[in-house]
Amino acid sequence: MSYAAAYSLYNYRFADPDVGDTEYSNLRLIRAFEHGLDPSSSEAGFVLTHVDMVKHSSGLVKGATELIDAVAADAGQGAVIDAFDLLLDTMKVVEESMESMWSHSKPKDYLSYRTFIFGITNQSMFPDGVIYEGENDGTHVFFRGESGANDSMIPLLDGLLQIPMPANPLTEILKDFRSYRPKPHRDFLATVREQAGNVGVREYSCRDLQSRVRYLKLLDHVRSFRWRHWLFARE
Amino acid sequence: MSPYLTSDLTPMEGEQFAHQLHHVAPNLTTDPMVLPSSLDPFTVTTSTGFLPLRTPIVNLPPTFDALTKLLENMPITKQDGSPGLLAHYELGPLIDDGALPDLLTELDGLVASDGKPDFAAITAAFRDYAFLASAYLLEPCWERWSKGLEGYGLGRLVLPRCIAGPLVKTAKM
Repeated sequence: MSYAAAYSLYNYRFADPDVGDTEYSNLRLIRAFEHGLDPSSSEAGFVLTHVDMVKHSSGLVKGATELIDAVAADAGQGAVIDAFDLLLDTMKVVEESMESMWSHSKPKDYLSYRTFIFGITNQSMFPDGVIYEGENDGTHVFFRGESGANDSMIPLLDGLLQIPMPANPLTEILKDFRSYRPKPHRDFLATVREQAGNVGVREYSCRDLQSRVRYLKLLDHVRSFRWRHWLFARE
Repeated sequence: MSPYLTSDLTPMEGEQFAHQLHHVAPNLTTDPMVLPSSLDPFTVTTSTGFLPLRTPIVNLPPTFDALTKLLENMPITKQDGSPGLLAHYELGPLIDDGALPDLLTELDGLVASDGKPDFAAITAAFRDYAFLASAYLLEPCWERWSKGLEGYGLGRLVLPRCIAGPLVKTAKM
């Protein structure tokens, strides 16, 4: 099950098209397994909170592009600070939206609808994966299930801020997640990481106090986002 | 030029590096409403970010009615509040009895106004087949879970051609 192209980011509609995504209460699911067609259900809340967070991602894409452009053009403090401020304002609202997760969705209900989003890799229910009739010469195939960790927002900031990743079993899975993203997301993230390195976003930002403070604040958003997601997973 | 910040890059290097990003995402600053539906709906722009260019397509054309109907009848609680196929573990048997025709060739009919494959519709088909595939494979596990039995047991280990074919085709497009 794919997070972006199926379960979450291609699975929402508006109760009132004129209101659009400006209000969370206007969001509805298109497809559901359990009680998700009822917008007050935990399944709907779980999926639609992801949509509500990602609706702000335009600020991250714009900010990341402007920051790389500004550093590349040696545009100086003002342009760099403007780009950082857009990124910081956006992450503030993304994290506020994330905080609303458990008011839209009860943690205890997760185990129920989760039954339908397991993958067919390393799961006891599919010890040898699954045979797709008529495909793959009749051999077993293995795919992962859906996870919000397939989302592209935090990996965008990882790349932009040039955050190095340790090599461990968890980061191996995160690397494998890349292949589950839509191709335009994958290409954009790879190029941001590459060009942030080429132009030296981190080094450039840290040469001046005003931009250094903002670099660190944005880094702190990545940290608090990941920490909250970790707590969610434990709940 | 900033009084504080200076770059080690030559202006030509800087321009070249910045160009790469706009080269990989050529529609970055384009208004998504003028972009054709033959583009990948997850094309990245500064106004839609990582969301699709337009709100996801809800229902496919009538040639896919058999698929749409199954998905509407599938949830444990349907839109009208009544119990659906998964509530009584009826989805798998229904599909095994041939309730879903193989619509593989119908996917070729999903064409955008510019004559190219309609990626917005193809992604909606992928979504629908992905939901159906997960529900079909995991329905036995749901049955054990909902009856309070220990462990999930085994899922269905073979995905039938009428789901596997279109799922793989839409995933690869």
